Amino acid sequence: MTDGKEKKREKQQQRRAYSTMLIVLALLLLGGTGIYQYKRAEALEQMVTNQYTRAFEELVDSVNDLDVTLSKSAVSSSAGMMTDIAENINRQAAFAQSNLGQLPISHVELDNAAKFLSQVGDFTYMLTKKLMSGGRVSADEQAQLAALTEYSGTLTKSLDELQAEFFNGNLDFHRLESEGNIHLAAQRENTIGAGMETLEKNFSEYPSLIYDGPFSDHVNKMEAKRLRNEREITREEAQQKAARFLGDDVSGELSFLGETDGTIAAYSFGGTGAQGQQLALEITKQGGYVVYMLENRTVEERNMDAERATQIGAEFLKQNGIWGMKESYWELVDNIATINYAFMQDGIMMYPDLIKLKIALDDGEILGYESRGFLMAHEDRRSLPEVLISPEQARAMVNPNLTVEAQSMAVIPLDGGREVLCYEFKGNFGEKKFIVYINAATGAEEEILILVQGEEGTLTM
Amino acid sequence: MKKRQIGLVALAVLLIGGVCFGIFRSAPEQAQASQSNYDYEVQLLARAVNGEARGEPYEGQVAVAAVILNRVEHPSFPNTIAGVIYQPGAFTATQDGQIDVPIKSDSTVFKACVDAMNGWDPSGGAIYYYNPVKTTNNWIYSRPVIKTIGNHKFAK
Repeated sequence: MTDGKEKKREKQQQRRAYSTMLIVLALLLLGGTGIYQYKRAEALEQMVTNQYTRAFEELVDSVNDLDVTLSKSAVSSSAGMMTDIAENINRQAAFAQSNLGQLPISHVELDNAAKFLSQVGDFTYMLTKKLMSGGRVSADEQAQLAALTEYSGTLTKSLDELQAEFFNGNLDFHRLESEGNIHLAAQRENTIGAGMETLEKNFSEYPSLIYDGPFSDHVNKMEAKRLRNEREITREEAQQKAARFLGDDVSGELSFLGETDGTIAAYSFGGTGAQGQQLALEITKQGGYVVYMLENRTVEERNMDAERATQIGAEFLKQNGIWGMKESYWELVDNIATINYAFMQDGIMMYPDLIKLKIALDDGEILGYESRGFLMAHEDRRSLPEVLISPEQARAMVNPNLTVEAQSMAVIPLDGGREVLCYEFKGNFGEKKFIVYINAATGAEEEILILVQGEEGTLTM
Repeated sequence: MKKRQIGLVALAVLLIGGVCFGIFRSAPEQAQASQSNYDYEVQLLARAVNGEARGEPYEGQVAVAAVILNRVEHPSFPNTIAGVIYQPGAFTATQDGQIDVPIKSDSTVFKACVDAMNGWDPSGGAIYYYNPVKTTNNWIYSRPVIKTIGNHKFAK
């Protein structure tokens, strides 16, 4: 062999070795990264599974506690004990519900359990209020309490069984993770979700509870008072009303978008505003009232203040045949004022009869209209209960800490759809503004609100 | 031969660099003025709605935000906005990271959430919504439909 050829082969071998080393290095790096990623994923999965396990354990613990407390309520007779029981139930139920909401189980499988946890605290709280104002637990309420207690027993037993399965290693939160899609799926076995699903099936007769509270079943089934006895209109009539409502604010024809079923049956329309923005509105099938109107336009300038906008809004309502509305609270965001109006009857504010307007502060255009509250609650003339407490008596019932600045009367909505006629006292304590409502018939304190007033509007809480 | 070596090195660097980039993505920039708890609730709402209804008409975005608020009031769901949004599996925005994308307060979706917080509910009280073209959940078809806005059906 010649010298040249040897050198060539040497060089070739060198290069080959060099390339091979490079490839091996790259593969090692990739492999190392892969292993690192895998381990990290494993650690994260364990962290997540731990959270689920914790939530599950806390759920089972608090449901057990709740069951014990609830059982006691069946044999309690004094208001004091009931209050104690209700407080504990509220706390335990809230904690249980919070943890239930953290589990990776689809809503379907825990609908009744979640509902039970909301209603049991609510219901016992309502009973406490009743007892404290001298009432007694009615036979009906006893029956409801018994039904709740029975459901609680079943829920506790099922959860205890699931817990046993979990500790025996037969149930796994890891498996849930790997399934990815955690909605109802036919192939699921041996998972916490499937166990809950069985529970739901066994308890399809969870009692329908109707009581005076925000989570009562009747809240979702109320009827719109304003629409009672109104004639049902056709789609064409509805479209005409919609066009008239919008007037010049819409360019061109409206298009029909569909019908709405539900508490307020309506026709839905859409169109384009003067500046090309989308707008949408609904007209009720009964009576042809505007349910809401909504459009989104950027408002660059502010040419008027909230007070002027309030006047424009009041005018607009009158033009549309809604009289007697008075403004209450407003909020300014991005040069748009959102103003609340409530109906006034004989100088008394009817807060449930609420209409909201969104008004552009550049030219006063109405950008939004919301009247579902009004449609649900408004009566032309409410029959009000007798006022048994005089203004002076009511004033004396307000906590002396409050420096009262204004006094009036109002009907306020309570949880569960009930309304109550009250004396309204606005005042200060410390740096905060408050409104206290005293029942005009019983003198009981019905509600206390905090007013958070800023430059950009007022918030009540 | 030199070209081949350079080619191999370049390939290796690209591969490694690509993998590293995939792993160590930079965190999104966050710059927002200090606000109240109420403002942050709207922001959280906006982030969720953005993930769910980005291309939908304005009315549709308000409706999705309203569904979240309706769930807060409903006995079968968690009692806070965060509880409803972060309920595992409830919203895709929490699964694909969109829930962490800040939303500007002058954006359309933010304004839609402000309207929903102020009481507008184009969904008519719905607690469920779905895109019939995309959804794989058979159970949800059994829910009574209230209305349709854009790509979404809203149900009770």
